[in-house]
Amino acid sequence: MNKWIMLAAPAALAAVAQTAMALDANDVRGGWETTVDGIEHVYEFSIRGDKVAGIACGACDDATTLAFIDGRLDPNGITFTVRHVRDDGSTAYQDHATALIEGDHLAVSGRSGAPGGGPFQWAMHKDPRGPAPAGTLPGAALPQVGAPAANAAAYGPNGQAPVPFGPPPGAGPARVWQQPGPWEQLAPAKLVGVWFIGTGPNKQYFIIRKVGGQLLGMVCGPCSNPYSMAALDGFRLDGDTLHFNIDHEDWGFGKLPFHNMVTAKVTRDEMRFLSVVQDNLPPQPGPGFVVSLTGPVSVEATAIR
Amino acid sequence: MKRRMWALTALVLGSAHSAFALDAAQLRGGWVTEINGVRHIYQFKIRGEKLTGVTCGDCYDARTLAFIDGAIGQDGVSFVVTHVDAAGETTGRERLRGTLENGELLLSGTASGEARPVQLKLQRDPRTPNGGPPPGGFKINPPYRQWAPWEQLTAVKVAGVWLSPAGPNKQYFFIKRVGGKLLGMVCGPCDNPYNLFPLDNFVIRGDTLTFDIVHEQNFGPRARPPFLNRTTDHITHNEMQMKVVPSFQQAPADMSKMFAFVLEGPLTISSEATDSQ
Repeated sequence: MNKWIMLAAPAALAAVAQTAMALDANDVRGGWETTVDGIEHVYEFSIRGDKVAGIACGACDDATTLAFIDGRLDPNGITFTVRHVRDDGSTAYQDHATALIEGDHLAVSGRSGAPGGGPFQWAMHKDPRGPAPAGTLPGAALPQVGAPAANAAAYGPNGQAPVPFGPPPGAGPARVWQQPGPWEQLAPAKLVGVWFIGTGPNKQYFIIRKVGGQLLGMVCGPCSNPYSMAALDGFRLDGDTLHFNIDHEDWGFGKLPFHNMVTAKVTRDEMRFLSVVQDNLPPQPGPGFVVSLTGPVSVEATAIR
Repeated sequence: MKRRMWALTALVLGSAHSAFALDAAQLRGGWVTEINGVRHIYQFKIRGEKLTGVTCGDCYDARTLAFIDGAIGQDGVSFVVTHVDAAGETTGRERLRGTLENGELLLSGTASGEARPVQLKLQRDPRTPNGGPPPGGFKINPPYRQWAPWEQLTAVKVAGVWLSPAGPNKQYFFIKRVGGKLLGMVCGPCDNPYNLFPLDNFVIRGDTLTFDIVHEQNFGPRARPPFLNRTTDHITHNEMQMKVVPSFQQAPADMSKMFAFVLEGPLTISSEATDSQ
């Protein structure tokens, strides 16, 4: 064997390893946004190991724009597809794209499978506003202290800053909740659509859609800020009980990333979260954050523009 | 000729006497009956001889909501119940006649698709109204602030189910397309006819919807039934802001002083089914 080749191989491996280290998952996870020709585009990447999932949307409070990401993280960036679905869960079309960090932005190039679509190239950014205020607990956003995020520039001054929390205007004591009817047996058709918590600009939208044979979704609110957005996955139905996860990638309480494990039931157009448990915290006493959602509103009924 | 005149006068007097005998106050409002083990509610609105209203089976399920149109005649009431699909097309009709006997409303008639005639015995619900306006009227805290432009409205955008805050006293506003117009019902809890009101007189102008909530029976100390709650409504981001003025009050000059609340929706009618789908 040629000695030069022997010497070159370790050098090449080292170079690849160095590139992989340079593109840490924390560099790209979470929400990115851009506006092209007046049309908003948002990607929210959920990354575990080299597996990339997540969601894509346009005007994200319009549930008809919600699509689903599936891809891989490798040393050269993310290679992924965006699957746009019909109401029955079948695939309407797919976009194919790659993304990598360039300075303070995410450089995305790909090809849209939409009718009349074609190649595109976007420079996507973190939202300069940082996370929107929510609740009264201290929150965190990437990059966290000690987290191996290399692209701190992408997050700007809001990345490390505590979120300016405070009670919402006019907030009063929580009402005692009474179960309005018997828990109902669940099926995908009963869940698909949009469920709301509250009213006003900080209203939470839980969007659930059929994607092939499974359920996937997204929660956002306000939906114009990718920090206030998380993919929903891990849906499982067990009689009258629903389980799913809320993936927190670049904003949340405690060490990122993590997911909230939700256990919920439905009665009379209310989805009641019976427990919400974070997988990044030791077991806590009590059910955690419990709340009622109203819905489901049809996906089409959120299309206001 | 003279005999004819007398006969005509007697006929008119007889007719007037019958109309008074079946006093609208005895009939208006909610009635309940059980059909095949399911509690059904009939809610009648009466203005003069005109009778309208709604009927439903499991009244939490908007699919069961159907619409009444008829009249009070000399011998009682006669009306048609029209069932519609999501597009407002008629899917079935029942033609019913009824009389009051000992405080019960006895109905008989035919239903489309049914070979046998229908016989129903309707009664008043022994319960009383649930809730009603508190002393001093409803208050909203905090007041609703418009946070996005009102949207242009269409019948398709408005039709469906709109819900007020969660819980057992949640208010369900059902709005359905019926032919070329909109009709509906609000209820909550929906198993008590005292808490169930027809919605009518829908008008859409640009970004503004108006309709009436029909109150036929007692509903709180300040109410004077029968009356209408006249609503003025706007929609943004799946929120309907509703401002209400009772027909027995003058609308305040300042719209922000009106009683107002917010609904979320519209849920699709099919999602209302409480059974497993």
